Amino acid sequence: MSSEKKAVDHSHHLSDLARRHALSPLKGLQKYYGKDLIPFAGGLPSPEYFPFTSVSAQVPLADAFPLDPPRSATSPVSSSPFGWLWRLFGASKGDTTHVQIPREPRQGDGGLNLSKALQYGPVTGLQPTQAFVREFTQRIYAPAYDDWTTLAHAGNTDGWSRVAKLLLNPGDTLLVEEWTYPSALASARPIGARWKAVPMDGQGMRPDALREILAGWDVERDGPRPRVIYTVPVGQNPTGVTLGLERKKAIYDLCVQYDIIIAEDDPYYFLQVGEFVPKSLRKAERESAAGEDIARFIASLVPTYLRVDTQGRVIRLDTFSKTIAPGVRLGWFTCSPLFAERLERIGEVSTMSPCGLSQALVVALLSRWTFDGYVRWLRGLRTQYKLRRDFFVDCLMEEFDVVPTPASAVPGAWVAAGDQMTIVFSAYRRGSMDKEKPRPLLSFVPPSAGMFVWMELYFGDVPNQTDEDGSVVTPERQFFTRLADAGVLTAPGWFFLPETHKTDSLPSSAADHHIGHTRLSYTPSDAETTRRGVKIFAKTLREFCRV
Amino acid sequence: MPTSSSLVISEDDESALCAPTDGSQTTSRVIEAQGLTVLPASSYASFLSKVAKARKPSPIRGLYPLEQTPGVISLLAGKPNAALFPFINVQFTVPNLDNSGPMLLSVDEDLLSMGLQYAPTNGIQPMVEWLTLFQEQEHRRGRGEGWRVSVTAGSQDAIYKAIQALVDPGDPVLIEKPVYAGVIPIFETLHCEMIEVETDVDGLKSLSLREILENWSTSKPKPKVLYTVPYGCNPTGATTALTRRKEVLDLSREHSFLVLEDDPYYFMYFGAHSRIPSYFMLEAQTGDRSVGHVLRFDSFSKILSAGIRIGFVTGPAPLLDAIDRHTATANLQPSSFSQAIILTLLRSWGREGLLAHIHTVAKFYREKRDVFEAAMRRHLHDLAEWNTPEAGMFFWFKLLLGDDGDSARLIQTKAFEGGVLALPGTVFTPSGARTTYVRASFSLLEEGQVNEALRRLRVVILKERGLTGGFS
Repeated sequence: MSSEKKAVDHSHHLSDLARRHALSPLKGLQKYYGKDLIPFAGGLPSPEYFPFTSVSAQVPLADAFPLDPPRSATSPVSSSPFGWLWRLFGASKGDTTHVQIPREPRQGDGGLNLSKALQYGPVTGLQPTQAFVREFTQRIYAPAYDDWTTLAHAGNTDGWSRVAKLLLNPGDTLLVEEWTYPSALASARPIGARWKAVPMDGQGMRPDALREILAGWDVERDGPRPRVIYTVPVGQNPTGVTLGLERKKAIYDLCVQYDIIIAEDDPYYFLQVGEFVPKSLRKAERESAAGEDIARFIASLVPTYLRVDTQGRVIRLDTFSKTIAPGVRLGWFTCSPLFAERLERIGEVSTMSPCGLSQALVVALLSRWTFDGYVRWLRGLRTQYKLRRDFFVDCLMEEFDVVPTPASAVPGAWVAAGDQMTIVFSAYRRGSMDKEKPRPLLSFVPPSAGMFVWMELYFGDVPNQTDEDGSVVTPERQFFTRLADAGVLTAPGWFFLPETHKTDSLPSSAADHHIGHTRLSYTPSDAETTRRGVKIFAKTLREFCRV
Repeated sequence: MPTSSSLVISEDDESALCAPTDGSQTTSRVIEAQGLTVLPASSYASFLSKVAKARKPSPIRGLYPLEQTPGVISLLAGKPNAALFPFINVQFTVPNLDNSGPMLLSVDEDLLSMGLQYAPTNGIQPMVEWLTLFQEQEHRRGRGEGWRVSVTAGSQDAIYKAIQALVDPGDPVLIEKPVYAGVIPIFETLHCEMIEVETDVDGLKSLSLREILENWSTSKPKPKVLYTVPYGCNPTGATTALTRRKEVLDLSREHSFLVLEDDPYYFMYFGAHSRIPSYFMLEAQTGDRSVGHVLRFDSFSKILSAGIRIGFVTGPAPLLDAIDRHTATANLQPSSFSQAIILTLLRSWGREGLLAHIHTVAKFYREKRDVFEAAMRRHLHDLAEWNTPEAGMFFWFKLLLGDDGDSARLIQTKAFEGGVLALPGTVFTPSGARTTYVRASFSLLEEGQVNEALRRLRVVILKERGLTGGFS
């Protein structure tokens, strides 16, 4: 079709390793199957003796979690103002249903049976999995080019590590956000890739900074031109910021200009919980009626990079880890056919296909809910995460005096000077605001997506220490240890710094040891534990800073 | 290596060891009771690849064990809250081992919760524990011998990672000839020099291996790994004999290489003789009884489920550490959800039940083998040569097509058109050299199909021979 918009030819982006992956001869046989052919070529074991004859699961209904918090006025007696929350956290409606995977194929089962799921399956995912993710991508993301394709993977770590192998050669530079998910770098390191941190602010990766890096790139000094960006654009890990559509467009345009592939790692996409509103200002907003259509749901989410991807430059990683469960190890790529084929080759000699049983149960669940039901589930989940986000920040605001401040007014804030949009919450010791020059203990931007609150900590004149082996122990490290000893584990800022030997490419706020960072997850614990954790955190920080 | 059985050494006290009397660079820890010598952790530095040595532990995952400390509140990881997982209960049915009808098993609530959440890289703890105990009993090994177990996403995944952990680009590696086609791409992308060791009806020819190593040029480093499938080798179906295995182990100690024992058909053994011990077992029993040269790969793919992607690797802790560090940044962890389900089954069966199931599976494959062999005799007695496999699911036979015969060409054209598909032997050699061998799997077909398939193959071969003038 002449009007069909196809992905641009990206074959020059394939790494040497990706080019070398030949079709495993055993896998290449599959195309011969069928017709009146009797095959004994493959090494498939007989499923007759796989002992599972059926698998079933009890599952909640898609609308198990409410869309709105209940009005506290009608809550049963509880001495704590958070009583209703404690019940609400994870309190689903009791109704459940069952999904079952029988052993034998049946007419119209869509391929959901154990004889398929327990046997070696396609690297790209069982047929029902493939069908679901394809429809989901089309309806929710609507990529801006036509010949996109989807294929399953075993979770986003598997996804990214394959993408890294697909695109990076030794000596290549990977562009990353200036604070980034350490595991992603660890996947790229063995390939021999280096990385360049792109400055960010409270709205995400900065296009102006990216332009500066790309325009000023000197091949002789800096090595081969960067061809890949790794980004977590929604609920960024660790900073929690979200990249809006305008920024995505601007960055995408730069990628077209400079011929760059975008690896969009997006595990928190459906945890977009909206701007934080302090409790005193919070209205009992009602989410739209349960019958809200898909279009309104999509419109409520920041669009993905696929929305602006006219050339097939984006390799998107979706995962069920945060929307279903991490243990199932299932997700999918959306990318151009060229990349998909190579990603399949890379997968088939290592992890091969995602677990068939996980696929069968997850797809059975999604089929039971139907597409609309899954959207309802995602909305209920979003409310749950919003409640948890609100609760966590409310706890912080109980432990400190918190003052919303424009980013430009917060000295040394990681959100950076020039950020006109972001409001930073500066936190002071309670009752210290009437001092002449109150000093904040920490600042943070309440996340509008994801699972983390990223904080900048101000340690004042707490000095560095020296370890037995002579290495410097910054206040950030000291505080991390002090806090762990007090019974609270956090993820300190140094975990998220792209390692580099040059201090001038550290974020400026990281170069100053009086300032530290920490990432706190607000999801894993129940309300009571979370509250206790925040109290211990606050107390330990005050004591550590001697404030 | 010092092997004095009167010496008792504590793990922390290596400095108290006697200097080795044979001039080797390593010192070892001795387990007095068994008289075993355990290769010390430090000696694996010479085996690990550059990439493996450069891998750092994942900082976040590295702290997971601390989360288990009682009373600790973890705000560390981006773990979703368990209350939000949409699987409340998982059940499955399995046939009762005594054939009395299906048995309903339910995954324990805590285990399910563990399974749905992010889990340790090397497997959920109760699964690792179960498998470790199983390995101890199956291969008569004990704790404190320097080995441990990691669960992986299938044994293919484990092999892939083991090779990445041990082999640098361009390294020589020892493989059987012919070799499992699924490892060739892994070695090829590392530009390995694949040194082929001859095999015969008794499996790997240790004499061939000895010749290769003794004639190795001193100007280049020796191969560090031998990859072998000792039971029902894919594709030859051969099972390596006991004497050969002992010699291979002796050679591994003498020439300092690791034996990658890839054993997916270990449980599919149906030979008349009692089972031959694994390399993992034998290393503790034979030769100088120094252990730590064997890295063993087990799979549930052929006996429980191939699609479930659960395998396990057993061997020296430093090697498993390297594999796990890779997993942490490659696919994070094997599916803990699958592990929870499989573990529920294993617990219900117990070791005895698993062995009973394995026995049934092996019997099933023996019957299939017999059917296939009968059909081979019926249709190809004069057109092919083969050895009878005692394990696994493959028949490896040589078509008598004459000197310039080419099984690949035959299969891809005439046989395919004639309605039968087998796997040409050429895919099992790195060089892709022309061969008249064919691999056929006897796992899936019914008797009628087997006969029809081999009848068709006979027709195809006869036509081929007729066309090309026939041979003696």
